[in-house]
Amino acid sequence: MMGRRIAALFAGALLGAGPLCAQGVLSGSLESSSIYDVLPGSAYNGFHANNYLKLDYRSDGAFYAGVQAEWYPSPLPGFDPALQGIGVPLKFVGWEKGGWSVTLGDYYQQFGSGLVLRSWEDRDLGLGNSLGGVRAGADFFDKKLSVTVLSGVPRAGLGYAKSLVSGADANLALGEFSLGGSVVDRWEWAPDGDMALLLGGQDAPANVLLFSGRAGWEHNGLQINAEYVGKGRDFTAIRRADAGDSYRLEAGRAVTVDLAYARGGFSATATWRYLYNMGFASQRTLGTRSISNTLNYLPALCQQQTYMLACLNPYETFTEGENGFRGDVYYRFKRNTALGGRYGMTLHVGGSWINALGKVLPLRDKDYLAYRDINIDLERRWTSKFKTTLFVSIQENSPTHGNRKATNAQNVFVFEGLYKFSSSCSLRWELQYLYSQELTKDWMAALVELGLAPHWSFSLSDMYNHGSTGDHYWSANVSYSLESFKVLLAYGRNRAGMVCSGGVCRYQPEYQGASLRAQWSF
Amino acid sequence: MAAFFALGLGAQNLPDAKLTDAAGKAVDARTMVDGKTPFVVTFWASWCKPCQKELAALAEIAPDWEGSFPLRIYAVGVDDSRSLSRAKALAASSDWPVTVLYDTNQDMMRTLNISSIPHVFVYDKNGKQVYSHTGYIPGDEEALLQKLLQAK
Repeated sequence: MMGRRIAALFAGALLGAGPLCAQGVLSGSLESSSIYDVLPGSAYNGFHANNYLKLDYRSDGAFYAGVQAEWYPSPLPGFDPALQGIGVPLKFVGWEKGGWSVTLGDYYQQFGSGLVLRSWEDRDLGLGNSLGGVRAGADFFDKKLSVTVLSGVPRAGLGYAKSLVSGADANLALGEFSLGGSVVDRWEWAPDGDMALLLGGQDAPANVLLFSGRAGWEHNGLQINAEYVGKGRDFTAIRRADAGDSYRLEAGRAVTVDLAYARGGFSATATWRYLYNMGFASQRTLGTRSISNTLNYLPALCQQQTYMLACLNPYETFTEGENGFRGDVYYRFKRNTALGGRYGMTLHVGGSWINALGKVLPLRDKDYLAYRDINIDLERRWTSKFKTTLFVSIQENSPTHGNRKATNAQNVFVFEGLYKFSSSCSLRWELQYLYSQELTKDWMAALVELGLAPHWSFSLSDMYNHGSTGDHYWSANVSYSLESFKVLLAYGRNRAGMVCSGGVCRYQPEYQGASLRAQWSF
Repeated sequence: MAAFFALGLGAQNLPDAKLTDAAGKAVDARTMVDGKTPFVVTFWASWCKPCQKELAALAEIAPDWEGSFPLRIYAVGVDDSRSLSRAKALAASSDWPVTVLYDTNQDMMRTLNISSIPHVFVYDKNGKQVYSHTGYIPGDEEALLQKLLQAK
């Protein structure tokens, strides 16, 4: 009730600000995603929808304000059921001028690479962990030094969590060198008594402090960035389907080192990341029921796949402890060369190897493979009208997330083609095959898409498991775009599995039926 | 509601957002406005295939640009820390005719109320938004450059 009053107050202030400010711009966006599930026996039969309305006002001076209203008559399958209802989780006013800024209300913020703090929004995931409170920032020495301080209560569902997050971040740029550091404290003012019970009588501290130090160097196409994070003792729940649950009170740490080099048409990157006990929840006992119940960003280190069969078994970060490496090489064969042909050709080869730390688990000290992959993309234009992409992904993952040695392997092959009949009419197709001797064995998939730029797109796709279950997961889609308005109507059967965006995943149950998504920004 | 319509709805100027360049140095988005020529801002990411198709298509038609002013395209990457180095590597090895900048916590993207990418904007010489388009269908790039010509 109090939240609604505050929201109404902010909305009123935003509307009232208009006449007070002689000049200014009101902008916003409206987004609605809905499905109607008709799958026999599904727990999600019926209508579900997520709706968002965002309004922003920015004066010609230094003032800005905004609100975001969200309405979930019944959240989409796989989204946090606690979202059901209507609310205004974002409302803010701010002032920004000459390198100084202050925000009152709800805001998003990232410190460093997000290992200590990242509040952000991803509507595909149903993730929104804004902080409600105050934030101030300042730049000094011709923007060479920037400092941010904040304090706020994390969002939980359409309300707030029972914790307060406070922190500070500083970045210093000195020519080719950069230095930075952050400190973040989470104070959970109403820790759940169950934690002490699960910890065998130990009290989990109400305050948990994280700090990070980072450094970077860039010279002549070479970049090196490194970050170290320390985390105070925190309650950690390790839930493993095949090993039972365990709980402990322990400190955490993380290290990342990132190398990148680029010259001409060649570039390469390498990343090493070590995590130990780095889960950092807004409210510890809520666990992972809602993916918004997180305050830092620990995305999967491996490549985010986009082709249907390549993302059947995505990897999720094992936040309790993992040690991983990833490397990528990109090369562009120039135009009018033997390999590049008349239009050039691009090649990408990448791979990752991630081990789950054995010491996380009781009675085991050895690290086991959690995930590894090798990915190759080769893209070439043959004529002004015809272009192809070949993609191969060899993946091996642990179904127990590194708890046991056994792994599953799958090899994915994709051929994608694009033919332009005219400047506005094109046909794109994908042919995909997944070979595996484990789980549901072999799959095949196909997609065909007709594009009529700049407005219409029609597509049909089907994923077929012919190795084991004989299931088809098909979809028919039509989309229409008019400037910043887009609507997508689809009908089909969607497979249960993980939906990933930006390396973060949520589980989506199976459903069959119609879906409609409309977006408009103004 | 009358207040809404007194506010120049839809005539959004380029916001004063903080971005970074490939070397990680801070860049104000308003520096794109030169007071002389219109320009394109497109939002992309290393994991967004349609975004890369659009940038590659722009690279293919850029040599045929017939405008009386230089073609200025800013590609704002919204990759976060997970994939930022790969986005930089991808851009560095490409032949995209663009200036690449990065919006690593999607602050500018949120300010512009972008729900999904690719999303392109055309701004006039004073930084006033004159065109906005979401999604990419092969051929969209030609309509985009037509809008840029009209913005002069």
